[in-house]
Amino acid sequence: MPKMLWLCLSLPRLPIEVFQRAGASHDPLAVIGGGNAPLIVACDERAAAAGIRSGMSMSAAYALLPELNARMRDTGAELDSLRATALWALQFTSQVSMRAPDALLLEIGASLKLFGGIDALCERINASASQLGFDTLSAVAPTPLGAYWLARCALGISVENRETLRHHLNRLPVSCLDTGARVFESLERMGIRTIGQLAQLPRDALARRFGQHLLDQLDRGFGNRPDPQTPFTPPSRFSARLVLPSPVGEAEALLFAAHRLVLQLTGYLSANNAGVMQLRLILENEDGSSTGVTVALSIPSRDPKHLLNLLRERLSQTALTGRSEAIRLEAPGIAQLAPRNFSFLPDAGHAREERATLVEKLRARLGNEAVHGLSLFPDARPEFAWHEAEPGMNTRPGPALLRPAWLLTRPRRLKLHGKRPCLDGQLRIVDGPERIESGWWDGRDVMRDYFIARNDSGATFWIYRERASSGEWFLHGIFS
Amino acid sequence: MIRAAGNTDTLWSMEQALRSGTCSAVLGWPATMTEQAIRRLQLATETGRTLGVYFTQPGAAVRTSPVPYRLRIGGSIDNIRVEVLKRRGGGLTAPLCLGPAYQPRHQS
Repeated sequence: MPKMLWLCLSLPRLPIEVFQRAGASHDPLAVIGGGNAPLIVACDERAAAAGIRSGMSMSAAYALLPELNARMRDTGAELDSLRATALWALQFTSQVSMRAPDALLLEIGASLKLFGGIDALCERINASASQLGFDTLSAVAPTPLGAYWLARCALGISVENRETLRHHLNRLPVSCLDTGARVFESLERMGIRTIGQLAQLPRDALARRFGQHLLDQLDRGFGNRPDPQTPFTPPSRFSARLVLPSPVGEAEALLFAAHRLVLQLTGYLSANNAGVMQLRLILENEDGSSTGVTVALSIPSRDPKHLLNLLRERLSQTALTGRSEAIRLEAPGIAQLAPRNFSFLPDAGHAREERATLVEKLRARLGNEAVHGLSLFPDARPEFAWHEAEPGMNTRPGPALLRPAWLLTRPRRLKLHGKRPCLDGQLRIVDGPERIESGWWDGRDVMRDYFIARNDSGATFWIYRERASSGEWFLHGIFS
Repeated sequence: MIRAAGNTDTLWSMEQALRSGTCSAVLGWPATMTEQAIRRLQLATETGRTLGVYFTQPGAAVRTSPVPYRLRIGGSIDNIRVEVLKRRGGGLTAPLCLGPAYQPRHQS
């Protein structure tokens, strides 16, 4: 079994990002928390540029920036976001644990080979987290708590063995520890500032003075004591919701927010080695009503670009009645993807998928009925000898009959000149007759003699004569 | 086979199909083509490396157009004449005459 290695993904800006990731807010944004005298918890760049800092009182912040948009901290949304991120992170490893309020722990020891080493994996995780709308800090260590401390102190380093970890942890401030303010005060009075200093104190004295809890933390951080993590278990059905910063009526702004959810979904799908067959985007409107947009796929997919394109086309076909306050993405239909080997040469399966992608894209905009394939149908009557079929369906080749490339939708009656049919001049018969007599069972029976005929300018036609009483001539197709 | 409701949808569908690179050829019968639309389709053709053909009204031959090749096909079934109206790099050649597309079983 490979060595355990933990990556801690910390989301330091989560309180503000839950308001920002669905779209830019119009005014500078700050998040406030606390009871009677609310304090600033976090703020965006524009507010920070005006001099607003976390810990500032709200009145001081308004004095600096009157147009500040202050939102109450939404810990519920933060937890939802953390849960969504955990779900998304399952694409990198099967063991993800949440460390509320704002960090995830990923066991990556088993994933390193697949993703090409620690550096490549970290880079990939951070890059896709930022597409999800989160700034992240990450650190890697052999113990979960060690990784957590390193990430909290914004040390973006990767440590693979315990000796190096000890070296790094010794220099971290004691403020990393999870303990009460009273303990910090006494440590401060004792002149103990770093974890290294604390770890050098006699263990029994430390336990007596500050309790076993503190000692346990040190042991778990350094790896002297097992530290099992509760694995995050994904829900069986995907559903994600995002509250928009302000009510939105334009499709583009909705798609920006939907993009975040689609990425969450694709993370979930790749963790399950599945693709989505049906996708539903629900727009929750201001007036309490909701609009649903459903996309059906013919081949399961988890390509975020393709899914977003389908949503874009469907959304542009949907009349947006009101403005939406929140959007929800659901994946009611999910199917396992067949495992695919990486191949140097383009393979047939890949081409088939690409073709299905095109068909879905066309159908998303034009409607299902507008796009279809053609297949032969064993019927002697030319107008019934073909059918509309699902695109991509193979048809068995029929008998090699001489048929024009252009068949008229409805046969056209020909004028007669004397006893001979005419079309831009007298028609001369070059081939025929071919007798077609069929269809008495469905009421559209034909009794015809077909000929190939040509006029003086060389145009060649497929004409027939009714064998019924009338004996009239009709034009049915054009060769050239 | 795609039945598009309007000319915009026809052009859009042609562009998507050409760009995807999954089709061997894309044949289209758009009602009208602006010069800009032709350029877009040509770009899509190059991206997807797909053969794109669109059919125009016979009268369109006199108008200029930015497509790389233009052909006029005429004649009769046993003597199809292909005239190259425009081609990339090189002068125009004499009309090409193809043999009969079918062999009559007997003459009458």
